[in-house]
Amino acid sequence: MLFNSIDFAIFLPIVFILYWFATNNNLKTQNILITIASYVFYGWWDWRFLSLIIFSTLVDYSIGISLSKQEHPTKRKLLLWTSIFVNLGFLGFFKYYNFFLDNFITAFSFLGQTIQASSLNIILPVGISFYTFQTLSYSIDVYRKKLKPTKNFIAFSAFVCFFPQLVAGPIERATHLLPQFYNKRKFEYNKAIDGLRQILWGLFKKIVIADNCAQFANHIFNNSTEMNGSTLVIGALCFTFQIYGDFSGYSDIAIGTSRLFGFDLMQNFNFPYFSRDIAEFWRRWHISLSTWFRDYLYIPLGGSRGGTWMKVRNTFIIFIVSGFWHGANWTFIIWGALNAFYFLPLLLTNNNRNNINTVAQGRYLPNFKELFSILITFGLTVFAWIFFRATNLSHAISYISGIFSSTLIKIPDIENIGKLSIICFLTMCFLSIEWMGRLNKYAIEKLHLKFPKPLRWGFYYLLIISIVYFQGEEQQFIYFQF
Amino acid sequence: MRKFIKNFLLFLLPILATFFILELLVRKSNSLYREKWEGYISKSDSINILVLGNSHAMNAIDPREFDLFAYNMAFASQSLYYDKEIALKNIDNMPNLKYVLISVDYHSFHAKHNEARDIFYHYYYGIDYGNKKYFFENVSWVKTLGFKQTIREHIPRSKINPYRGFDFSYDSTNWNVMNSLEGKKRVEQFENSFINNEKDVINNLIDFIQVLKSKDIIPILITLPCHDYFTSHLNKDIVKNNEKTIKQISDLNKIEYYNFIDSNYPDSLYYNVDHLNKHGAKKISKKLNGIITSLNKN
Repeated sequence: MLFNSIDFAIFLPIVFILYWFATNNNLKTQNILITIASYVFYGWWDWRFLSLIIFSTLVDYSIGISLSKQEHPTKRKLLLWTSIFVNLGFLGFFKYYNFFLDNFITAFSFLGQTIQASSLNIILPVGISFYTFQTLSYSIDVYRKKLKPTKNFIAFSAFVCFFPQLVAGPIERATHLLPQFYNKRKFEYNKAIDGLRQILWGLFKKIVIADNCAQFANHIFNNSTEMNGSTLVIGALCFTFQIYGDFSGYSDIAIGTSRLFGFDLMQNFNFPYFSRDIAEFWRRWHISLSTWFRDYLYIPLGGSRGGTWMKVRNTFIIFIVSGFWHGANWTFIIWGALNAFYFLPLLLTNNNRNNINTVAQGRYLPNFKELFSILITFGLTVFAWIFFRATNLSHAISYISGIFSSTLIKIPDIENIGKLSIICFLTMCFLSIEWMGRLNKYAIEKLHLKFPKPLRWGFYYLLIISIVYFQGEEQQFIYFQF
Repeated sequence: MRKFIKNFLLFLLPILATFFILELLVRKSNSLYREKWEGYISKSDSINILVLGNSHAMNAIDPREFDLFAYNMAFASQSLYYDKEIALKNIDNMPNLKYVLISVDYHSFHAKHNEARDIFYHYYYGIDYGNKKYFFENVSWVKTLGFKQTIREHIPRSKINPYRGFDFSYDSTNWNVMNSLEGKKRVEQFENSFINNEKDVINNLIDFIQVLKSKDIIPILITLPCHDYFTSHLNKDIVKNNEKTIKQISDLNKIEYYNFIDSNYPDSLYYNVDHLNKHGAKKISKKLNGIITSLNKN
């Protein structure tokens, strides 16, 4: 079920009403309702894959219980590896089987060997990368004794399949989300209103910014060989805003929806395009994934504690694995590696934590140095996104060669220039609002503190009118494919 | 909670009211589909000649030029599927129907069904495509047609007043698009929509012809004039194949077929490369009237 669909617009109020009115505020009933609603939400796409989630839930729940009873280090380790094997096994099969097979065949063909194997027609279950990581975080934290294993199966099931963040995150930690299923939840007016506000902002980002930019990005990337350099730059910029509007919009809707049910999810985006260096960008982009890799991969590998070689190695590992997490394609691996290259100089010169605070705090505008840094970081990000969006490596290379050709100085070859101008205008308005709200968890979070009700409502209506009037052609959320 | 529900409903009220008003407006608004259909139903008793087909026939056949009472129910992108359904839905109410002109063109047997227009046939003609279900479409027309399109195109429409289904809006030549490049583009546009479904389309047409004949109505197949800018880019094999198919259908069912595609009309009679304007329509309609008059005498 898509957040920007009629189905969800009907589903959400029904679940909301049942949750607060039909459960008599009974925690167990509420958790059962969330589990059922989440299974319906997921099954709407393909009910057959519910079995994967249920199996994963059963495995991790049982492993958690076993870990609580087991003190022997080897046996504990074995239990942890069972969880990792099962979860990553599913992920590996559904997401990476064909990739590895194709690459093995290619590698052996270079050595003059022919391997007879054919790819399987595998459907990638929506959200498998997200809920796999979420359940893994539970097993790992229980193993590390940072979290007491739960004996409440219903709460655990609800935690694994919690519908607002089931298919595209934020990837929650068990230590943060699971306890919320144990505690009685009370309806809070301000929290619910805040949730609605964030949903509205998320819808605006997705429907107005992302879906409109997508039309141009798709057209230009799909026909890149026929486009001149300046058009290709526009295509890359459109994709840059598409992916941000799409994914951060989804996260906003997920977080806002959770708040309607009394839950707090972690912030997933913190105005990444205002970052002054790549290290800051990665502290602000897809935070739930970056911190997951930091806590469960980078630090166990030794983090930045060792020598220079170890720092470099770990940085590359984490960025490449992060790229590979996004999809079984060399483009994602190169995208990850490219970001590692961007990050490395900062790490080696100990400048990776220079920009911890928000840019231009206490000021309306950035100074020249800040603006320059933002633009450079943004440019590097746009360049990297080309690999992310390209269908394969040769497409990415031809796209980049197209940009750095003599046609770069030609007038962009865009058929619908009027529409592009409108999108540029809307994106500028969007960026201005984001800039003004950059100290908040999302751009319009503090709107109620700054403006009286009529102005606030007027602004909300304006957003709704924009969503209705400027809605782009409906596109599936990009991160569903991961 | 009460405060939340109260404020939420209060906030929703103007949105719902606007939506409701738009919904009412769009359901009552004019559209060429609606006007053609209303005329078709109200004049059923008088119709002697029914014109069916896509935009080629829609813009090329002027009912005023016929001695018998003609009605043009052709429409842009209308497939042979809808031609059949439109005629059969009202056939029992047309006691004087003698001839049905069916336009068969370059793309008629090959083009992919244009789903985007199904909704108009459902809303205005009450004709559904196959077993397609229209639950959500019926709940809200605004949502189905799109808010932007509703506001821009569907609500502000003034009455078009077609004459017996014929719309006069193509009244001159659009010189900007009268060239070979546009012709090539237009052919490509058609060919891009081609899929391998000729068999079903042809069988459906044959079935339609047989139903008409069983009711003593004479079907006539026609191909309307297109400019050389257009015809010169057509794929010769497809054209040949189409001609062969149409000949087989007409021979088998003993019906007439008239191919006017290479009429060599001057540019001034065209609106664009593959559509006549009202002056061209007058000329070809006169010709068709002559043919029907002679058929009628026999």
